[in-house]
Amino acid sequence: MIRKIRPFLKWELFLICFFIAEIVIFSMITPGFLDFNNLIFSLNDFVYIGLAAIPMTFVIITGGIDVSVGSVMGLSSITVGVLWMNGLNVWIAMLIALIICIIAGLFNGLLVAYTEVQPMVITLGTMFLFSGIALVISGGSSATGYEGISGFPASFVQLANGELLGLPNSFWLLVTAVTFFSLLLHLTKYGRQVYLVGMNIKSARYSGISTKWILISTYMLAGFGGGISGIILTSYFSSARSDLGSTAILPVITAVVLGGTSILGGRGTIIGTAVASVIVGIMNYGLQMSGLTSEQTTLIVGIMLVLAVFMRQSNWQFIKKTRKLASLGKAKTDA
Amino acid sequence: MSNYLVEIAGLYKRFNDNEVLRGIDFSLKKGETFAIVGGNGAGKSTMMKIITGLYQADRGTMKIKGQALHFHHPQEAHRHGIYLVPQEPLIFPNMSVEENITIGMKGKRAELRKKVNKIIDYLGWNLGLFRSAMTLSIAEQQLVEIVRGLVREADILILDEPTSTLTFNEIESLFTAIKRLNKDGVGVIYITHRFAEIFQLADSVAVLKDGVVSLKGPVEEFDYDRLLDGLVDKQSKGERRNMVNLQSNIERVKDKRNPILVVDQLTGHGFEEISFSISPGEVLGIAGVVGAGRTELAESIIGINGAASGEIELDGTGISRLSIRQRINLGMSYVPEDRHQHGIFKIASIQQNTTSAILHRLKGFFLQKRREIEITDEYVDQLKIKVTNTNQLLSELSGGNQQKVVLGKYLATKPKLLILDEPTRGIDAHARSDIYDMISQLQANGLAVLLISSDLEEIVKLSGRVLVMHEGKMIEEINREYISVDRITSAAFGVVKKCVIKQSINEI
Repeated sequence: MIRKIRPFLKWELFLICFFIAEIVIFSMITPGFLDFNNLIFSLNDFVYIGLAAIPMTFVIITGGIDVSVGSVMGLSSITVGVLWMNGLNVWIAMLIALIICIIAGLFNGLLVAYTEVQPMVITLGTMFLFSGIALVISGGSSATGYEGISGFPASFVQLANGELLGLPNSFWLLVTAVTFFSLLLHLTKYGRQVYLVGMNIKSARYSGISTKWILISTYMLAGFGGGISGIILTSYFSSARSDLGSTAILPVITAVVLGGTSILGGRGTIIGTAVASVIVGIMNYGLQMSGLTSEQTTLIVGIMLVLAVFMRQSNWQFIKKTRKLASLGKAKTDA
Repeated sequence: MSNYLVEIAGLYKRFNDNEVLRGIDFSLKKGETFAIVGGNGAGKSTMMKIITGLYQADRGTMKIKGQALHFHHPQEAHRHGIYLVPQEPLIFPNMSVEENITIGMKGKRAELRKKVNKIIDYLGWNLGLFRSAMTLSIAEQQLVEIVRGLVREADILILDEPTSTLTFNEIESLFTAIKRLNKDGVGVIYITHRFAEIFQLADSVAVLKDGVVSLKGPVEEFDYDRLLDGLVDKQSKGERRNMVNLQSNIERVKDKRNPILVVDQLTGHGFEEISFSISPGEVLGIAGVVGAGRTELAESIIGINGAASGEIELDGTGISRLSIRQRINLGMSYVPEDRHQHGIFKIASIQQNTTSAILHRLKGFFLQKRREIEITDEYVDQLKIKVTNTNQLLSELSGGNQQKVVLGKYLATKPKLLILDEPTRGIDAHARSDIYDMISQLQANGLAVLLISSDLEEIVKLSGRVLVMHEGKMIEEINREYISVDRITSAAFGVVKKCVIKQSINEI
């Protein structure tokens, strides 16, 4: 058992060290950074990363990727805005937006499951498709893209800005998402099938697993995540815009990969993704507080993604090699 | 200059414990077509790979045009005029025919084109040089491969079953070309499973069996029977399994009334009009050379690939339209041929592997860890799988134990019919005998087993009845009393001994 989780332990340990180092460095650069309230309420700023990255973990475990999730956020945001502007109750508008996002995921999933095209290419295409649709909806509302739709009811704005038991709502949202999706991935038959499909989709098919449905459903989860994320952003900024989340894809993918999910599929944990999304978020937040522009911040997060992929991949090879050596040694002693 | 293009003496090659070539002697004259036949695993490909420099021989000498040589790389073989046209032509579909032919060659484009045109004119083929290679038929792709070799001034051409994908006219045109090349002194090594082609085309023939040349000589000295003699063990020749057991005969007749699986006129990719049935407690062997369509048939029965026409009935239910999962649920499991690609989850635990085919049958939405452990322990015990604990990763097990886990995973589905495709390929002798025991045990428990294997000894040892496939067709059905390596081999190469069939019909 310990052997099985050892590589994960190592990586999780690394993440925690990284997290502590990050906070120490930022508190040295920016006075007043190291304050519990400051830190916990900064979560409001970046909880959307975790909310999208956690369901995205499922997609990446199957060996796929969904780069359209940023556009889905915009789609979700503008749908809520336009529906509400046209007199619908904001909560019902929110539900409809979520359903539309799940349908967007279904569309991605169908294309991935029924064509031979790489998920990266498909979702790159749908990324433009979804943001195009969002723009059209926004144009129909006669609201300009820059200003967006604002003036939401206070209860909706409180969704992302309020607090409960002294902790921000965003904290509780993240905890809920981690609990729900951890259960789904690690303790259900569905989650096991997601792993099996990611490890070897052909073996899974020969075992009678409905591989197509598993693939499609993970993209629907990613769509759902993008939808929630878009709604929380809308509530946080109290403004619905079609281009909300257009830069979200980098931190979201970085969070999943930094969290230990193998880009080749078959490995990954929800808690890893959650911790990594906080790391990426704090990185964004801290860099901006210390006076860097958002472009410079993007640069650093980009480097983090490349490094994470590199380290995970080489780590993987290394473990494989030592395992092989160990089993060879064992075979020799057996003989 | 020597009259021999290739001279090989005492060639040995082993992979791990498996001795593939055990002293091959072979020589190819100028202007000669030398046919090579042999069963699966006889060592044909290994021998060709040594000639073309892909592998190095452990022992033995090789002379090319009188010069003793030792290739370390295929390029060296090219330089000495050896060119292998693989069974599946390697064509770059997005390039033109000309680019495909001259790829990697040095020299001016115009000169190369002249050379290519000369060769194509000489062969009398109609290959548009500027066509996109995507539009080529398989026959034309093969021609491109041959031209590729000739432009590189190859005078030793190796053709690996070139006609397996060709139509009749295409074969004619290929043969004409080969004969013309022969006239100009090009030597051709021609690997084939089709006896008819040997007599039509070849000057000499060699039969490979278990890594040695068991027979060779000018083709005039041969007929079908003599070729078969070379393919079959001397001792087992004529030796029939005289296990005429009246009781089992009666049982068989009785069981035939209630077959578990009935396949009727099934046609699909790689096989045609296959009909057979199998009863509980029966082991039905399916034999044939590689490419005879056995795996394609099995994959169609389990539902991986659809069938074009025909019916499959499992236990009285038509299953042609059902999904793989539904077929598994109805009591049929398929243990795939390619363990690594289709059987295992390498980075999952033994337990996760074992329950992967029955996950959906476990109750509830959540995983039932305790139930999973029970099931895994049951099959680890039953199949004597050597593990330290069931949370071990599958990749840590030996090949034989991995195969047993795959078997366990499909046995866990509680099948009434188990299709085994090459169940003992590449595993050690110990695991092999465990698997044989298991098959007998299953049979005794009333399971029907469809056994696909290239290991004829295995088929003879285990099967109560054997179906032989040849080029996608079911060419012969051999009943228990008449099963022998000899009979199966003849049929697998397309030679059905009519007299024997008549005799067996009379006896029944």
